[in-house]
Order: sequence, then C-alpha cells, then structure tokens
Amino acid sequence: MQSKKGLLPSRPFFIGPEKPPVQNSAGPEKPPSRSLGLYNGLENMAANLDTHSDLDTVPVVSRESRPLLGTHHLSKSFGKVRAVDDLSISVPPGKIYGFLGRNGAGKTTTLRMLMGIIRPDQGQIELDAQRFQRIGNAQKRSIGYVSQEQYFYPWMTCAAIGKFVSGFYPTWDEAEYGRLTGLLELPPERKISALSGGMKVKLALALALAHRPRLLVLDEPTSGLDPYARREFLDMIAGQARKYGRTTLFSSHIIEEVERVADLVGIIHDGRLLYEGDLPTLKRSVRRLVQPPPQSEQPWDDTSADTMGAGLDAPDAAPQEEELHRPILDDLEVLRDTTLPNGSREMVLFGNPHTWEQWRIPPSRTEDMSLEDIFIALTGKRPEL
Amino acid sequence: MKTWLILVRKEVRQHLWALAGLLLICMLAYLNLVAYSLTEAAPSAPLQALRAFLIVYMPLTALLLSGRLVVAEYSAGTQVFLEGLPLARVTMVTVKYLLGLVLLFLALALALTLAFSFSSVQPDLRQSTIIALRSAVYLWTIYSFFFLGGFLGRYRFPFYGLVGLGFLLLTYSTDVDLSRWGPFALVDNTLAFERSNLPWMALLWSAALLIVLTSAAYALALIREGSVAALTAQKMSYREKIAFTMVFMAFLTTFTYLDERKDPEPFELVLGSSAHDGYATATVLTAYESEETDHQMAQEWSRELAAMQRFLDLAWVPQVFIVERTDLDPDLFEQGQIQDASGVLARAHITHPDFRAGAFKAWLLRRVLLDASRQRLEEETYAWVLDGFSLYWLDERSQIDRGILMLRALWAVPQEDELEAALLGRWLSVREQLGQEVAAGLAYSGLAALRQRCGPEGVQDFLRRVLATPVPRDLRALWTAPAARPVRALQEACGLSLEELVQDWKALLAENRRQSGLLVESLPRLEMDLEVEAFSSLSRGLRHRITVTPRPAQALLLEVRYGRLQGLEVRKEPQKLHLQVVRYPDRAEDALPGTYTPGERVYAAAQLYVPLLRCNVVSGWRAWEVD
Repeated sequence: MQSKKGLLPSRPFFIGPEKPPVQNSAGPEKPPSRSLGLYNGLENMAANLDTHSDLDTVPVVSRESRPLLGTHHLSKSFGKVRAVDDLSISVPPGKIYGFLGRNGAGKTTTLRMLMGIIRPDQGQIELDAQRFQRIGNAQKRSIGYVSQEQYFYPWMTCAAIGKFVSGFYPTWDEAEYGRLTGLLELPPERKISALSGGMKVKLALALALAHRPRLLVLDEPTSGLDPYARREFLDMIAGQARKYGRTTLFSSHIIEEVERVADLVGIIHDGRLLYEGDLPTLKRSVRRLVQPPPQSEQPWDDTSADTMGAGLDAPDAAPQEEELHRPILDDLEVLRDTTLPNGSREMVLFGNPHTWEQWRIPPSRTEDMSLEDIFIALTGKRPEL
Repeated sequence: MKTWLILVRKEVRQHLWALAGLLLICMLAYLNLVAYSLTEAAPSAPLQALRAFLIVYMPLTALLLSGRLVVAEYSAGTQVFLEGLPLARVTMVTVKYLLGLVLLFLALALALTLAFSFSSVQPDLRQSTIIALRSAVYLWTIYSFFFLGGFLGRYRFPFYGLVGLGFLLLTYSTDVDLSRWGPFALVDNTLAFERSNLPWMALLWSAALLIVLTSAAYALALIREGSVAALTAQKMSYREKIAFTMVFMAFLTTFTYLDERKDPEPFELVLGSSAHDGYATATVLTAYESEETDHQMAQEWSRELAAMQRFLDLAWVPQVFIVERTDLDPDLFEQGQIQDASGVLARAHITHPDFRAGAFKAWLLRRVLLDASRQRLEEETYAWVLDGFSLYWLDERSQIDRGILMLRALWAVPQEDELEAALLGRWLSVREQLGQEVAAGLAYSGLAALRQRCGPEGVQDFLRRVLATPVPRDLRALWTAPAARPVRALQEACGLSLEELVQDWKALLAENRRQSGLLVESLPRLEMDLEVEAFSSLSRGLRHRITVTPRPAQALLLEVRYGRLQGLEVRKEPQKLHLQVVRYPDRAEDALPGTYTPGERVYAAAQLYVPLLRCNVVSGWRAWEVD
C-alpha cells in the first residue's frame, strides 16, 4: 500500500459510481443513500466516523429538517451530452444555497428543470415535501425565478411589466412591487429598452420577489453586473433571506459571492454533484500538502519524535507508522498531485476533517486553501492514477 | 381563462402598430372589393372580388400576422421570459394561434358582408353558407401554413420559396392541376356561382392539410422543450444564406429546364391523314373511304389553323385531330379526352348528310383557342369574345352568311334595350338561355359593331389582346389574366368603353331590325317548363310542357334534351344528355322518361332547328331541382 514516494495514498479516496456506498448499520439517523460522488463520500465518511460519536462535525446538511427543495437522482441529456447526471441536492428552508460550478457544468439545466421549463429524463424534484416528475404551474407560482439572461419586452415599462406578470400570480403584492422598484431605483414609467443590463437584473429580481415566493431561484443573476451592483444585489438577497426566511437557491461560478452570502454550497462538475455542505467544513476538508525532495533531511512523513513538532499532543504519543497512515490510505482523495520545479511534491487532498485531525503530520507541511483554490482543485482535471 | 386574456392583451399591445398596418391592408382590400363591385356590371362581381381578396390579400395578411405573432416572440427571445412564468408553453402557442385565426376570420367576415351587400343578386342562405364555409376553411389552411412557417424562423422564407417553386414545378412538369385540389379548389372559379353543393373532397383535403400543418407547428413549438423553435429563430448564418441561394438557383434551373419541355408529345392518330402549314398541323380520319379526301380536309384545316394563328398572333396552336364518329347526331360535336399527349381531338358525324361544316368549324376553332389558352378563355369574362370570334373568323373568311348571323343576333335580342353591358359579364347564362349558336351570333354582332367603329384592324388588335395573351395555368395567371380582360383590351385597342361598344351594338341591331322587317317576328320561340309528379314519397316523375310562339301552322318535331346533374355539375354538354323527340303540338305536354328522387337536379331544354337561322333555337337551359 505504500507509495514509491513515501506514505502517500496509492489510490484516491473517491467513492463514485465505481464504488458502492458503504452501508453503516450502526448509524440510526442516516438518510437514504443519495447521489454518488463526493457528497456520498462525505456521508460514508460520516458513517465510518460514527464510532467516534462526533456526528455534529460531519459535513452533511442537517437531517432533522425536511428540505424545502430537493432533487432525487435528477438526470438530463441533450443528445449525447449528459448535462446533469444523477444529481441529488437538498435545500433546507430559510437557507441560501450557492450552486457552484464552472461554465457548462449543468447549473442552468438543473435550475431550468427545477422551474419546470425542461423535463428531466430521470429523477424527481421535491418541493415542499411533495415529489414531482416535473414542476407544474401551481408549483411555479410559489417560486420566484431570475434567469441567466433577461429577455423582457422592450416596449413595456417597468410598471407595465409588473402589471403583466401580476396576472400570473394570485399572491402578487402590488405594493411590494412598488416598494422593490423604488428600493432598486427602477423608474416605473421607464421603458425596458432604456434600462441598462444591471437595471434589468434588478427588475427581474423585483418581479421574482413581488409575489412573495417561498423559494427564490436565481440563475447566475450577477453575471454582467459591475462590482457595486453585484454587492448591492447580493446584499438584497441576503437581506430578503434574513428578513422573510426566504429559501434561496442561486447558481454562480464566482466563489466570492457564494462565500459572501451562502449558508450552504453545492459544487457541480460535468453534471455531477461533487460536494454539498457548509463552507467551513469544505475548507477543513481540503488541504494542500508539500513533500520535500527525497534528499531533504526532513521528509514530510518523518514520524520521529523530533519532527512531530507542536502538532502532537505529546512526543511520546506518536502512533506506530502503519496505524498513523491508515486514514490516509482509506479516506483521502487526491485532487491534485504535482511535482514542483525544486523536486518537492505538492498534493491537494480531500477528506473528512476528522481524518485530517487524526493524521498527525507537521502543520508546517499542510496549508489551508482558499475557497477558490478548493473550487479549482475540485473541478479541475484529476490526476491519472 | 385569465391567463389567456392577459396573453391576448399583451399580444394586441405588442403588435398594435403591426395590426394597424394589417388593418390598413385590409381596408385597401375592402376598397378594392367595393370598387370592383361598383365598376363591374356583372352580378357576380362582388363575389369575384371576394375571391381575389381571398387569393391575394388574405395570404399576405396571414403571412404578416404569423410573422408578428410567432417570429417576433422567438427572434427576440422573449419566450424565455414567458417560460419562467407559471405558463404552459402550449398555452402560449395556442393563444397566438387562436388570436391570429380570430383576427383573420374577422377580416373575412367583413369581406363577406361587403361582398353579399354589394351583390345585385342576393345569394340565398345556402349559397352564403357554402361561400362562407369554403372561404373560412381555405383561410384557416393558409393561416396554418404560415403559422408553421413562423416556427421555422430564419428558414421560413426559403421554406415559402421552395414550396412555391415546388408547386410551379409540379404544375408545369406533370398533369397535376393544383388549382383543382384542396384549399385551391375551395376558391376556384365556382366560388361565386356554386349554389347547391359543397365541394366535400376539397374541404376534406383542406381539413386534413390544416390538421397536418397545425400539428407540425405545435410539434416545432413544443419538441425539445421549445428549443428547436428558439434555435430556428436565430439569424441566418452566412453559410446558410449561400446554401439557400444555391438551392434556389438549382430550383430555378430545373424549372427552366422543365419549362422548356413541359408540353407533352402530340397525340398520334394512326391511319389518319396529316397536313402541315407552318406550325399548324391537322390530322383527319373520316368514314369516307378515300385517303385523298381525308388529306384534303387535313390540308384545309391546317391552313385554317395557320391563318388563325397569324390573325391572332398566337404563340402556338395545338394539333387538331378530327375523327369520324357515326353514332353521333350530325348537329352534335364531341371533344375526346387525350391522356398524356397534346392536341384537340374532335369527333363528329362528318359523312352525315345533315352535317353542318360551318357549325363544326366554329365549334372546333373555339376548342382550339380554349386549348391554346389552357382553358382560361372558358372564364365568363372572355366567353362572349370567344363565341363571337368563331363566327367573326368565318365571316372574315367569307365562309358564312353574314345576314344569317345578324338574324340570330336579332332573334337573341328581341328589343335593343335588352342588350346591356352586364350581359357580357354573365355570358354563360346568356349561352344557356339562347343556346350556343344563337349566343355566338349575338356575340358576332358585337364584334361587327366594333368593326364598324374601329375597322378590321381595331377588331384584330382587340381579339389579339383578349384571345392570344398567353395565360399560364399556375399562380402567375393571377396577374396575367386581368391584363387580357375585354374591358381593358377594348380601351387599349379601340379607345372604347364597354358601354360605348354596347351603344354601337344596339344601333347596329336596330339598323338590321329595320332592314329585316317582320322576318324576326316570324321566327319561332320556345318555352318549356317541368312539373313534378309524385309517384311515392321517394319517387317522382317529370312532365314537360312546351310552348312554341308563334304557333306553327303545321306539326313540328322538337327535341327535348335532358339529364341528371351530378355533384358539383352546373351544366352538361349536349352530347351527354338524353334525347326525347316530341311531336308538337300533339305531345306538347308529355312525361320525361325515367323516375327521379327528391333532391335530384335535372338539366333540360327543348330545341328546334330553324332553317332560317341555320341552327337550333332552345327554350333555355335550366336546372330543375326535384322536390
């Protein structure tokens, strides 16, 4: 099991379609197995860690609360291209869910399925404890939606489009629409053709919020906005979520804005969910390790008492080598494996925070990563193993 | 329903200016309809104008309407906005479809109201229903076609172009006559005249077509979650433009190639003797047992055809085949059907002692001209000129007695006041009332009056414009045909209006009446009526009652020709009718052979050969409905 380059994992910690999820008979509150990919990996890690009686640290969304919105093994193909592949996400009520992914990852397709605009090939959508093959008009009335690009009728004014849209929503609040357009500085009598791109996005948000939806779905709403407008927009979303407890699902490929407002993130890549959970847990799950060159006097996996440093509780508590590296071999996934010009080896590893805590390596050899680096590592090309 | 109203309001508001433009087009069309109704004397003029409205304006309106309703939405991408709302895609499409249809039907309703209002002969409820139904189904089919085209987005104009070229190719390269099929048949020449029967086959074909077109439009709008329609709505790429141009050019080349060889090979009459004069060819096969006689007759006919071709400056004349048919009555001539070949096949009892060569020549020349004009001269507008020409030509060639022709005209119009311009617009009715030969005599007198006014050259110019203008048998006829209308030709050739010609005509008739003295008064006139005799609830007999005035001094032998009209038929050729010989006055009232059922239509007339006129006079052809 030992790597030629030391005690690195010889196979990744990757539980995908190739590896069936590990069943945990001991976990009494375990939810039914969901999507494959890293999310399941985390879930299975949690199952493995049940013996530690430390479930509160498992990076899984709270299981007690029923999600307002969820998908169950959702799939959609366009010809030979599998845009969404067995996707299962869960958005708890009152939370802001950031749906992260690169361009073409399948975010828009997922959101269009959630809005009933396109029909999934497989899977179901759960909304307010009810499952649907396809979202219908009755369900759409409780959802506010801002699409990626704004196609309004240019001849309408802001007030006229509000009146037009109001006819489709029994819960439309004209006063709220007036308040929102005022707040967003949208002149009621101005024609849409005279609005800037940013103002059109604001208008879309006002239209999406004025019927007081329980769920707000935003498809990359800030793309095309300047930094000021983007911040204003995000603040509004966060404010709405806080004030009205409005559940929000918004897709983006901009890490910064997700980090700014999201309570939870789901990372999608090539149509498959890689991670779902909160941001701190994600940050604690991915680290960068640097192994000095072989001729170095102090290899990173040196387990001698002198090199353990402050990372250990006590020098004499050093475990045996085999026991020490067991979590690495079993529970970590290599996201990136690079040999640097100076001969040292840099690796990005993904694993349950518990795994990292039990692996006693010098802190000087590991680095926390920014969310952006994590995102790139997760959605970039995997090393060939 | 609320959603529908919201969408309708949105569509109306969005396309307000376009709708105003369409309204303007419709107003122009209505004005045209009204103007045509007022200027044309024929009672059917408003309904003919309605036909033009349906053929010209309505497709244009449907094209623009579907373009606005569908293409404007998808090319702007605003359907994406609608898809985000609680709104089914099918509802969005249906609202557009129905809105366009309702607007078109409103335009049609107004046009129908105008046409019926301005019609001097008010159509009854049955005829009005037939016209309305035919127009509505035609319009619906056309609209469905353009609605489908709307979802083809940037490909719609190439699609329309290819369909149009396809139609032309089909019409030119095969014997398929699309004008007699489906929606085209619904607005054919019979639209203004059909009073009894619905063209069920055309209606069924149109209904099937509109279902197919509408289904295809919905399929395009809904398949792949509407992404197909969204994709086709995008602008055409440079490559696509090049490709479509090449396809279009290929079509044109093919069309030109086929156009050159569109005329089928001439019919072959084995054993017949042929003769040529220039491009005119005649083949004769008679019962004379002499090939020399046949050849001589063929030569005469080829010369006759060639002379007529030169006189009228015809682009071509069809080959003529004259075949003896000994079972025909000597005064009846028959045109045979020729499959997959060109030419006019005439059958007559040539060797019969009572065979009238002059009448046969006049009849055959008319058939030749009809064939050369691809039957367009059969249209009522041209009919009097065609009839008149056949005798005018014989007169010019000194092959007929001019006095007899004038006598026929005088018999046709007992008082000059009865002659009016409107008669020329309903010549088919005139023919039915007077019989073919007397009507031709009357028409001849009109051309004779024109000759007095403008000289032979003026008449020749007029005849060339009316009879020799090549009129295609496809959609191009729509703009070619009006140029050849007699009213316009008269103005251009002689600087005369129809009313001025009629005045001259009346004067000529009055002059001849003075010269003929009481001769015309002595010529017999016939009247015939049919009475229904009920045998049972489902069986009827018919009795005819014939009156001849002035009462003849001695017994006469009259002919009653009769036959059942089938389906859409409004008249029958005499040779397809039964014959009953009646001795007058002994059997002036007699039963018509056969029994009839209620609802059947019987076409009949009595006729008498009048030696002074050298032709038959008729009681007037009529269709009686058995009740």
